[in-house]
Amino acid sequence: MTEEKPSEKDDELQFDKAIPAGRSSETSRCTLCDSPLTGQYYKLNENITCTRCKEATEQQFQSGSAGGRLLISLVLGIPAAVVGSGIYYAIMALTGYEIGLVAIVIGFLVGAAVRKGANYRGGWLYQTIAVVLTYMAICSTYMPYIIEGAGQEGGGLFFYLIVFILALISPFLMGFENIIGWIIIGIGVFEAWKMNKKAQLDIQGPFDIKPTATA
Amino acid sequence: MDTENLTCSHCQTSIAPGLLSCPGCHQLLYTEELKKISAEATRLVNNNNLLEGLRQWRRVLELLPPESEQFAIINRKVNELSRKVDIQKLEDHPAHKKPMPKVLASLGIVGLLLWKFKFVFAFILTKGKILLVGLTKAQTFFSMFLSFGLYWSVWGWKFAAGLILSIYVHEMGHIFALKRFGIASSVPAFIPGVGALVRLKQMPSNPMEDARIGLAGPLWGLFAALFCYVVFYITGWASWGAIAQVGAWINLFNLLPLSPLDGGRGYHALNRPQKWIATIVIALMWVIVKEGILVLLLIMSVANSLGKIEEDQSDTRALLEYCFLVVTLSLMTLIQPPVG
Repeated sequence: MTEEKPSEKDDELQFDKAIPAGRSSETSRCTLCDSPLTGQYYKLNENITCTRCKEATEQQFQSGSAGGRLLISLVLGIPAAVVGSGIYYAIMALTGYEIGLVAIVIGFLVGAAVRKGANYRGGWLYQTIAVVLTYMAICSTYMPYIIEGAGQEGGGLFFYLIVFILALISPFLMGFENIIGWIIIGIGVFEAWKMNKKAQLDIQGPFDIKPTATA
Repeated sequence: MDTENLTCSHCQTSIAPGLLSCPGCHQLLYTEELKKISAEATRLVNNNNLLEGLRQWRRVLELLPPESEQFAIINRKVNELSRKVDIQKLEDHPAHKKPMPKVLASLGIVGLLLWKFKFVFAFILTKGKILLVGLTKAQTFFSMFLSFGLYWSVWGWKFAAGLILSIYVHEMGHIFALKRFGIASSVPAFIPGVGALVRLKQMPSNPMEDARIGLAGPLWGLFAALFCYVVFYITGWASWGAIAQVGAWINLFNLLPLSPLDGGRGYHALNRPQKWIATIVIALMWVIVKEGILVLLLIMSVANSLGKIEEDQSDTRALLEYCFLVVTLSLMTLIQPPVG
């Protein structure tokens, strides 16, 4: 079969029926399993699916344990928060700048990790975890300043714990003077919150699909 | 057309809301609109009104299923037209249209400068008026006002005003480029403490468009910074110098080759050798000016140059624009306004 030139195809352009790209004209296919749609179909969020895929998706959405998801979201979220703080410090070391926009990156990393751990279910619990971890990661970047202000070069675990707690409350202590810092924390935290909104499975149907007569 | 509870008149298949064609027989649901808009688009292109034709073909794309052959054909038309629009605007440049008058040519270098200066005035009077358009939009105005208030509280009103205007000019650069390609977008919205953004209502149809639109912001931002620098140079007013330097830094930051930043969109159009050329330019400027943000640009650029390149593409103009921006903005970070 010879390859058609674009100009030949342009001459054949019609707007009566959609021609599926790369296939001969046939019934539509399920977006998830690619099998031809027969009998009935559903609209699953933005996907057209067959009955089997709709049922499989519903089952998957209800399966698994809440405790397991909570644990995995923490297991993934905490390292993501540590990595986010690490990125902030790395950028500061490399460039000499403290770039507040990195808070958004932290929020994104933590949000994505918690969402994955929650198996993309979302909900208020995962949103809270993501927000808390993001806040802690952003505030941990204040620790060097607190240590410097304390005039100490280092200390034991208890010392660092106290410094960490002070870092968590420092945005409140700085008050209105730190308004831009507040906004940046807010944007980072909002990013993590938004990414873990409860997932909605919007199922519409069933819709009847009628077989087309063949010529 | 209301597609709620619709049944196909050809095959009686029930059509789910939001679909663009019947799942049973593939009948397009917006046949009449598609015919009308495509006829109009064809007429406009035949009359050499490429930009309006491009806008109409984009409307056609919105009514076609993305997996259809018709969508692929129209998408090719849009890509072809956008390339022509891009070249057409360069050829419409006053410097291309008419040669310098003989009387000015006889004045030598002075005549040449006057001829070039004429273009600047013409540009300001025509394209520059777009700068005023954004200020008439409530969302832009009020979000700008809010940001101004915040920055005033931290840095004083002079610096706040200059910073806001620099960011505004940057965003209007994007708007201008979007209008060039007939792409619908929102008005700029300022986000206090972060900057501003423009939301696209239609996506660029190819990497070249994305690069033109992405790099337009830093280009306009550069001119804003240069303007501030000229004022600082002439008057010695420290605020203007500070605004020029910070404006240059912000636009340089935006050149990070990381989507969705402007630099990432510019990089998307480059092939591997071009990305390496940009990387070398960044490295050179870092050696010369020692500006910290260039380290980050360099790391991202190397990662981009080594990574997967999806399509076989090349965009010399995007490369030249990107390198020009890196060089000039890096040099402008050396501005040292007097302290106090």
